[in-house]
Amino acid sequence: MYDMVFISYTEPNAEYNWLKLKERFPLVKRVHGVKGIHQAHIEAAKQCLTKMFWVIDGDAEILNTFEFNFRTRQYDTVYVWRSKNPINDLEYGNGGVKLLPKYLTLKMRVDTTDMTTSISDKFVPVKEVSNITAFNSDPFNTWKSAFRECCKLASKTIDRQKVDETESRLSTWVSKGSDRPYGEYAIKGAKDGIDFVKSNMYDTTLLKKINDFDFLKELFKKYE
Amino acid sequence: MSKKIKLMDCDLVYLSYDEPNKERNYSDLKKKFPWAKRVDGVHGSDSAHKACAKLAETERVTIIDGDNIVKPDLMSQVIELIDAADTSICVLSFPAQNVINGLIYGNGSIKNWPTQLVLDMRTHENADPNNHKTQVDFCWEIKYLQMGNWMSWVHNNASPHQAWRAGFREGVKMCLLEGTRPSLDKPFDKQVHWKNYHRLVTWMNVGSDVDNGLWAIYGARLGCYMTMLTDWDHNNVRTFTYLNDLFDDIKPNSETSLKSEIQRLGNTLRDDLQILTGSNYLDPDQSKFFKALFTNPPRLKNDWIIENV
Repeated sequence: MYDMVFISYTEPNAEYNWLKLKERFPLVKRVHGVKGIHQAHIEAAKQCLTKMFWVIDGDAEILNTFEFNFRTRQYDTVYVWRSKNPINDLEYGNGGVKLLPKYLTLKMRVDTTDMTTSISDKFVPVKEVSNITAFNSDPFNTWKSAFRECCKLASKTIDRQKVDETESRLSTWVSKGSDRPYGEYAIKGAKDGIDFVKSNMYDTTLLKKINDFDFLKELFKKYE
Repeated sequence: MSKKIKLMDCDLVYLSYDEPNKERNYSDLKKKFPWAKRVDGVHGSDSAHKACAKLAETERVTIIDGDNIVKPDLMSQVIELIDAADTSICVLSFPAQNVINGLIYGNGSIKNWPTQLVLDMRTHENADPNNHKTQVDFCWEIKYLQMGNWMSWVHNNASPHQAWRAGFREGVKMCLLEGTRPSLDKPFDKQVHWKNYHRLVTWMNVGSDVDNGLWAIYGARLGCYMTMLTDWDHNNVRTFTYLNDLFDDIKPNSETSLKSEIQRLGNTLRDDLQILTGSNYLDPDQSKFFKALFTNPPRLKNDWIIENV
């Protein structure tokens, strides 16, 4: 049994998800409003008292079947569960529940694009679905999530990415879900993300800006 | 030759803090012993006991916790000790029966103290930081003489918070070896004293038949879990304001959630510490059955005691 931390920032549905999770798991802790993905996770690790800790994103609707009862003695490994995407129905690690090693999280590099791979090079994707990643709560949050994920996929910055799998996912992101709530913003975000990578492929500093939400807010202004 | 301690010769002080049933219990005490004095609301166990000692005008003082209902024959207790016994350093510990789980031992029970010893001791919040024996309890540093007769009932289940806190504190303390955490490299049940181990698993499993008993079970499991399986500083257990904040933060807000957490903690304690617990706890009928048949172990004999009548 490991500590659990719910990390939220500005997700409109965070409060609802938090209360629902807290009802099921009263020991869950919360980190709210910490700027920067890496910094928020470091803050989560600081609050934890166990060698590993669970991370639940603010937009995650945890499935009733998911029990947080996985156990391991690999205290240097990052585990990521699958989440279901409510717009395009993809099921993979994006937005899924994570089990992170506390001490490696505290020491992680904070200047990388993809946080999980900067914690440890030992990464285990778990095939079970933990949640629905309900990121489509308003236009900006929907666009932002799609933009960031497709940047990561298109830039191939995530270790162990499989080319065929990545291309297939990108293809789904840019084509499916316009009939779902805020689906058109997800598709726009996906396309913008891919274009952003193409335009800045060799500018690693700019690519890292996908974790800067103020920067993303500026990019989104064209749709407001 | 022998020496006698008569409780009738000692001042009696009722020590309460935030117990929801403290006024009822005090009223009951005053009916039985109208001369009882009272200390209320002092923060910290060491400071609160010192306040009792300051109120006392006798060489020894009997201190009764705010959740106790005392037996009427308390004041007729006479303890005969051998002449060599140093009464200035020994505490007489009368066991109490816990109404949640039926255990009879020193937890929350009546103690008769040498007044000067209380004034001089440094424990809990006033402890020397380097003395691990005095951080969270009195009993590892001070000489306790365990009496055979139990003299009170501990009613620590008047609210979910009170029951949880009682269970949590014992869940922590019953794990400790003279104030330190046992090693995880050796079997847990081979390190803690068998009586403490049995008490711990009783706290973790018995009491669903009484008001708020599930909260005590939850507290005991959580206290043991946090002490043994996390990096939590168990010295925090001595600070009631800390415990109150913790309870506010983590209390389940439905019975379903409470039962689910009890099960989750039980599974973890069983799997990681091989403690005799698990998903289930004794249901109300089983708890009643246990309490009806369980025989509490005899208390430790001490060479100083000749008789407790």
